Amino acid sequence: MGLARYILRRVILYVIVFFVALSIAWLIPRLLGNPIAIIIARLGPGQAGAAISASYFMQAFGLNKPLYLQYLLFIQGLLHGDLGISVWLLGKPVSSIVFKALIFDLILMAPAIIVSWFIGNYLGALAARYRSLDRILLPILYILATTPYFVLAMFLQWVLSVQYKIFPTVVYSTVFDQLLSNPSWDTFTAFLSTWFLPFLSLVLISMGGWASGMRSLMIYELESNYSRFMEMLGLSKRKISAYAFRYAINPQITGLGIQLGTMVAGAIAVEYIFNYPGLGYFLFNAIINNDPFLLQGAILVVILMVIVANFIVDMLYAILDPRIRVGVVG
Amino acid sequence: MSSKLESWLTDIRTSTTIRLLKKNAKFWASFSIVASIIVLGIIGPYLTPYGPRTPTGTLMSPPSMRHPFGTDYFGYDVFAETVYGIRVSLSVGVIAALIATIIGVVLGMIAGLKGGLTDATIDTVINILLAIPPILIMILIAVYMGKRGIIEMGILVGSLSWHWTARAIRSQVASMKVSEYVSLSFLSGNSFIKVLFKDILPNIASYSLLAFVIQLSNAIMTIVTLEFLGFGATEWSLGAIVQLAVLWGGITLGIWWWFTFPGIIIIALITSLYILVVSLEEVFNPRLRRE
Repeated sequence: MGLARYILRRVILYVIVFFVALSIAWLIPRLLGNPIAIIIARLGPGQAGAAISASYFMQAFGLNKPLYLQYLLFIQGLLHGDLGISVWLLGKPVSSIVFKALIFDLILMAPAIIVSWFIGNYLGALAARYRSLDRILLPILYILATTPYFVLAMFLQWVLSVQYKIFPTVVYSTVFDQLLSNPSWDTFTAFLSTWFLPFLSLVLISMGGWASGMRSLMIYELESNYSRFMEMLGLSKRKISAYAFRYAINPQITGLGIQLGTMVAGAIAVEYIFNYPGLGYFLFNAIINNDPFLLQGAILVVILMVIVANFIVDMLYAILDPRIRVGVVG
Repeated sequence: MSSKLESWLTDIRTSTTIRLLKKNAKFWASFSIVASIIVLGIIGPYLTPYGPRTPTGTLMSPPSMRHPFGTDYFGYDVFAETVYGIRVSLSVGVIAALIATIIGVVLGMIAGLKGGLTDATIDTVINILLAIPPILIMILIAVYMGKRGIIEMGILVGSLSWHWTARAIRSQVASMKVSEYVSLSFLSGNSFIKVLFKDILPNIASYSLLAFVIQLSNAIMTIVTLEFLGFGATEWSLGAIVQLAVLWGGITLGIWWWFTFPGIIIIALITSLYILVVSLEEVFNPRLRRE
């Protein structure tokens, strides 16, 4: 009962979030700027045909239609997987670029989230339990948790691939196409060497966040009355920590969705630094190359990815938290 | 008046909170790092003869007496860029944090005290901002912004990051709402606004200060990321220096001083602000003290 109501409320929220996201992605370019002007500007300066090509593009992109129709057409196009064409990549459909990038993003981020979550929570719990370890670990965790992704990525690239040459300095984003068209050991290792450093940057930073969060949650639980009571009963430290851990892990599950949002945003810069062809890479290039449709498409897909992940986390939480399952809260 | 002030000052000096704050090593370490970066931003420009865009004539020179942080690919003095950059990034951060804290506190108080439809609406907006990473909306808006000055960027970041503060304030105020003194205040005929300012605000004032520091740390993180993506208020803000270094091969060419100094200052600033928050929380919340 409680579970069904909880799920229904969450579904309604995410439907709202979904439409807000769509509308923002549709509205802001129309409200604040003129994509056509950008395209015309790219075609060349002030030729006589500018007005004609402007009206051509207005028609071609349907910008001369009434606004509500434009919105409906936008949603219709979206449902058919049509996100417009990329100006930067000379007319390639945005949806095909973005779809491929999404897969590379999942290959990068799903392992990064899982690995950082487990290691981070484990380290945080250890730091809370052992004072001596805490003294060394805590400053490192704080620094990792608050360093912007791109700063760490930059230092990693400089140290590991420029100074020590463990990883190739110049990597081409085509390693993925090569891997897909010609799967072999060589193309696979080429892929791994491109994949590893962005992966490491994402893991280290978000691990710091998980660990420092877990540490304070654990300390809070270990200082609580029920832990004191168990201590009085003579239970082992190990046992008490295990109970505290089970309680402290809950907020860390809810945090997963939010953490994913910051990771996705951080990954934009990381992917650019390492030439990793995920959504962030195309987003960054869309920004520097003035490509309105690619930008809109990439942002939209990133937002959708985060919303879906948030939804999955919420459902996971509903199943894992007994209070929601039996309908005490929610 | 003066005796009142004196007794207030003695109160502060003898209070447990301040006594604990004084012995908190985390507080002193983080506070002094934040303070020195602020001081560097204020007096730095007077220590160097160069501006952030003065051509020095020497390209890619390593750190030396003339150029303490070296010069970049274009021959600009990295020390000058960095100290002027601290000014820019910090100013944007303070504006953004102020706006976010004010919006967050006001909306959080209203949602928590009013309840009902108002609360539901504000809560939905908070949840939307939690589900869609606000930085993506900021990027989308920043692309089309006509002018990206310090104030404009501050407003952009501040107006989309208040939800953290609002959420925290909302739950605190909601628990105050059911307490006796608030009910009594309503019963004695006080208006909603009066209860808000007389009974609620004084109780969350100290938390609001903490919320400001949290917002400042987050805002600077967001801002340097936006600057790195090319939406800096100026060409030489902290994140923008790093972006140019990456775009022009500063890493692969081994011009380490170009990105290391601004990079370290970014890390030091955000980390110290975060540790400052942690130390303040430890002092205010006895359960986290671990004595």
